Amino acid sequence: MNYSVKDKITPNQFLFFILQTQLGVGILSLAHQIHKDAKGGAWISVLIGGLISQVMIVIFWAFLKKNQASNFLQAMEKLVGKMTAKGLVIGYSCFYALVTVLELSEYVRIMTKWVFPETPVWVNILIVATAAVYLAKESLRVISRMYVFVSFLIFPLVIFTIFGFKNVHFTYPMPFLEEGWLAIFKGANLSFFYFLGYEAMLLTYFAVEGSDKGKLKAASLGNLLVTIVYTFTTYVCLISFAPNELPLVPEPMLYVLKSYSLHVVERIDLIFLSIWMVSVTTSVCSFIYLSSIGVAQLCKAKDHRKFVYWIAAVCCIGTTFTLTPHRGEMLDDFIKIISYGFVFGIPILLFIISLFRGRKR
Amino acid sequence: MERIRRRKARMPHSQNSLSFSPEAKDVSPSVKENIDYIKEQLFHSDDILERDIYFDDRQGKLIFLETLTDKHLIIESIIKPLERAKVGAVEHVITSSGLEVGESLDKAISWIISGKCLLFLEGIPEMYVCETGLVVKRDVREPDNEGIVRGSHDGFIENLVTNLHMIRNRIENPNLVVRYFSLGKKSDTKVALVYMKNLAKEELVEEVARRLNLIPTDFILSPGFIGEYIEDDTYSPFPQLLYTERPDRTIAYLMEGRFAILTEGNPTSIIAPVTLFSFYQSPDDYHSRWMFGSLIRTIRFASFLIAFILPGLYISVVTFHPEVLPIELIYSVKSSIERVPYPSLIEAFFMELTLELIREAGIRLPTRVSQTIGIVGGLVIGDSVVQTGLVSLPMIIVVALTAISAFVVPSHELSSTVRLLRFPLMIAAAMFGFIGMTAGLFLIFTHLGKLETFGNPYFSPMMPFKLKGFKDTFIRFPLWHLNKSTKDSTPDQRNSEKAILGEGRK
Repeated sequence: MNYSVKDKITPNQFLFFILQTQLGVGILSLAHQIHKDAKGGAWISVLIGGLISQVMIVIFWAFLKKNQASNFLQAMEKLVGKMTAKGLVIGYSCFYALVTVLELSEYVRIMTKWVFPETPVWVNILIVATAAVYLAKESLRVISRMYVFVSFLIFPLVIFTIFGFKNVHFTYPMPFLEEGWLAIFKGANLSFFYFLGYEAMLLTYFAVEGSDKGKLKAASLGNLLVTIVYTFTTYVCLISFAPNELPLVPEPMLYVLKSYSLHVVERIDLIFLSIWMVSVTTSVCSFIYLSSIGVAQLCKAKDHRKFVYWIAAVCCIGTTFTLTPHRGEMLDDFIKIISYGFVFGIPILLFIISLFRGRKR
Repeated sequence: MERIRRRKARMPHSQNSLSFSPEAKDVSPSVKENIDYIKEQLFHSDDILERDIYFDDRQGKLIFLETLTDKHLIIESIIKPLERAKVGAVEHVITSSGLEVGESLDKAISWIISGKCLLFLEGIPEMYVCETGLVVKRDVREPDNEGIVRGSHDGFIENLVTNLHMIRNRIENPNLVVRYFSLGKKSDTKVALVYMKNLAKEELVEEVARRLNLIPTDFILSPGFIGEYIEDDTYSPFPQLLYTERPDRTIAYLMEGRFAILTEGNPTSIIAPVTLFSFYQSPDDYHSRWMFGSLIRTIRFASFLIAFILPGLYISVVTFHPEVLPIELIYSVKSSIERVPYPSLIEAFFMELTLELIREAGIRLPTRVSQTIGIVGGLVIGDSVVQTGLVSLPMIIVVALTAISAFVVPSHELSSTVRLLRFPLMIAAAMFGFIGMTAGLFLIFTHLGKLETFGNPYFSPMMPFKLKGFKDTFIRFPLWHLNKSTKDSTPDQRNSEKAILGEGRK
C-alpha cells in the first residue's frame, strides 16, 4: 500500500502522532514500577528512559532517511532484499498487534479495579476497541487530526497533577541516589518500555511531508513532551508518598488525585481516568493502524480498512486470554524481551547495514 | 420580414428543439388551427384566455393563461400599442420587455405555462411571444427565525429575482456571478448558483454545478431537496449546508469564497462549504464591539457543550459516580432522586420527550394558543411531575437548561443535531458512566474529524488544527485583524482588498 495524497500528514501532525502513540496505559503505574528498583531516583530513571528513546529515534531516522521510498516495505527491500523485508514487515505487524493486546489487557485490569468491578471484561474491551477501530479505519490524516485535537487533554492532566502539590514532602525521595546509579539504570531499563510508541516512525515516516530534518525535529519534540509529562508525574508521585508507601500503591497517580478535592468536583481520579482512557484509545488505535498498514503493504492492498477489523478482532479475543495475573505477567515479560529485538536490535542492525550500503555508493 | 428571419437564424435553440422533437409541429397560417392545437395540448383548461386582435388588416388572437399573466401588462404593452398603431411590424409596435418570434408550436406550450402571452396573426406562420409574467410577492421583511438586534432587517422572499437583487445591490462587483440551473424532471424550478469569481475556488464551483446537474428528482419542493442531493455525507447527523434567509449573512459568506444556492419560490439560501463553527456565527457578533461579540460567541459554544453533554453527564454522575459531587450536594440530589422509582435514564427520556412534544406543539399552533401550551407545559407538567414523583427536581433543571442551550444555536439545523446527539450520549452514560461518555464523545469527534464538505474539513480549525483560524471562531478578533487571516475555503488572496475590487486573480 502506497500513501496517497490523502494520507500525507504535516510534521506537526507527525509530532502528535508519536506523542499520542507513546502516551498510553503506562502513566498510572509508572512511578510504582520504577520505584521498585530506583527508589528516590525513579524520576532520573524516567528521564534516562526518555533519553534512550531519543537516541533510538535518531537511529531510526538515520536509516529511514538514507532509504527514501514510498513506504516502509519498499525502503527495506532496497536495504536488505525482498524476502527479508517482507519478514521484517510481518514481524513488526505482529509486534504491534502484541503491543495492542498488552495495552488492552492493562487497560482492562485497571478499569476492573477502579470503575467496573462487576462488568464483564469483554464489555470493557469492546468499549475501547470500538472507539479505536472507528478511528483506525480512517486515513492517517484523519487519525493525526484527531490526535492533535485530543492532545489538548494533556493540559487538564498536568493541571490536575499540579493541584496534587497541596500536601507533598520534598524530602521523601531524597537522597536521589540512595540505591546508586546501578539501580537507577535498572529503573531506566524498565522505564524504557513505557516510552514505546516511537517505533511508529517506521511505518509512518514516509507519509510525512517536509524535510528529513523537520521530521526528526517533530519526532524528537513528541518524545520530549512525553518525557516531560512522565518525569513530572513520577516526581509528583515520589514526593506525595513516603518511600515505604509507594510499593503498596500500584496506581500512585490515581491516589494522588483522589487525596484532594476541588470543592466543585471531588474524586478527580474519575475524571483523570476518563482522560486517561482517551490516551489509551489513541495508543490502541495507533498500534492497530500500524499493524494493519503493515499487512496492507504486504498484500499490496489499496486500503487498510478491512485489515483493521480483523486485527482488532484478533487482538480483542487475544486479550481475553491474558487477564489472569500469571498470564498477564508472562505476556509482559515476553513483550519486554521481543521489544529489545524490535526496538533495539533490528533497528541498530539496519542502521549498521545502511551505513555500509552508503559507503559502497 | 428580412429582419425576422435573421433573428430566427440567431435562435439556434429553438431550431434545435424543432429538429429533435419527433412530433414537431410548426405554426400554421391559420389562427384557429394554432389556438385549437394549444388548447388541445393544455386539455382545455379553464384558465386559458384568448382575445381577438385586429392589426395590419389581419385577424389575430392573443392567448395566455390568466392565472400566470399580468393582465395590466398585457393591456399596456400589447393591446393598447397594437390598437393605436393599427399597421406596421409587430415587433416594433409591441412594447413588452421580452419579445421573441417562434415557429414551433411545441415550444409554445412551454412558453404559455411559464406565463408568457402568445400572439398569432392570420396568414403569418409565426407567433409572437411576449413577456407578461405575473409576479406575486410579499414584502421584504426580517425573517422571524433569524432575528438580530442591530444591523439590516431585510430578508429573502419567495421571489428569486428580488433575492438576487438584494445580493447584487450589496455586492457591487463585476466578479459576482449568477448561474441559472433548472432542476426537476416534471416541473422546472429555477435555481441560481451565486459566487464570487475571484474568491471561490474554481474546482468548488465546478463540483457544485456537477452535483446540481445530477439531481434526478421530479420536482423541487424545498431547498432541503437540493441539500440532501448535494451534501457529502447523508448519514451524518451534522448539517453540512447552512440555510439562511438573511441577505447580509449570505453575502458575508460569498465574500469568504463560499457559494450560495437560491431557489425560485423559497426564501432560503443554501450556503456551502461551511464548518461547524459557521453555524455559531451570527451577524450580530459583528455589529457589537469585539469583546462583547467574543463573549456572546463563547457563551454560544458553551451552550453547544451543555446541550449535548449535560444530560449524559448528569445521568452518569447520578447512576455511577455520585461521589464526584461535593457532600452537601449529594444529600440534596439524592433525597430528590430517592422519591423516583425509575432509573434516571427513563426519567430523562420521559422529560426530554415531554419537552420535544411541547416544542413541536408550540411551532404548529397559532401564537394565541401556544401561550396555553406554555402554561400547560411549564406550570402544570413542570410542577406536578415532580410532586407526583415521576421525575426528580434536578432532572427538570438539567432538561430545562439543555432545552434553552439547544435554542441558543443561531441555526435551526444544528440545534436539531444537538438535540438528536444527546440521546446516544445519554444511553452511553446510563450504561458505562464517565467511561461511556468518553467513548461516545470520542466517536462523535472522530466523526467530526473525518467529515468533509466539498473538500473542506468540517471541523476546521480544530481538526486540522490551525491557530490562525481561531481568529473568527471562539473569539471574534477585531475586524482589522480578521482581514489578515486566511481561511480554509478559499485561495489565499480571499480577504485582500485587491481581490475584492476585482483587480486581480493572481
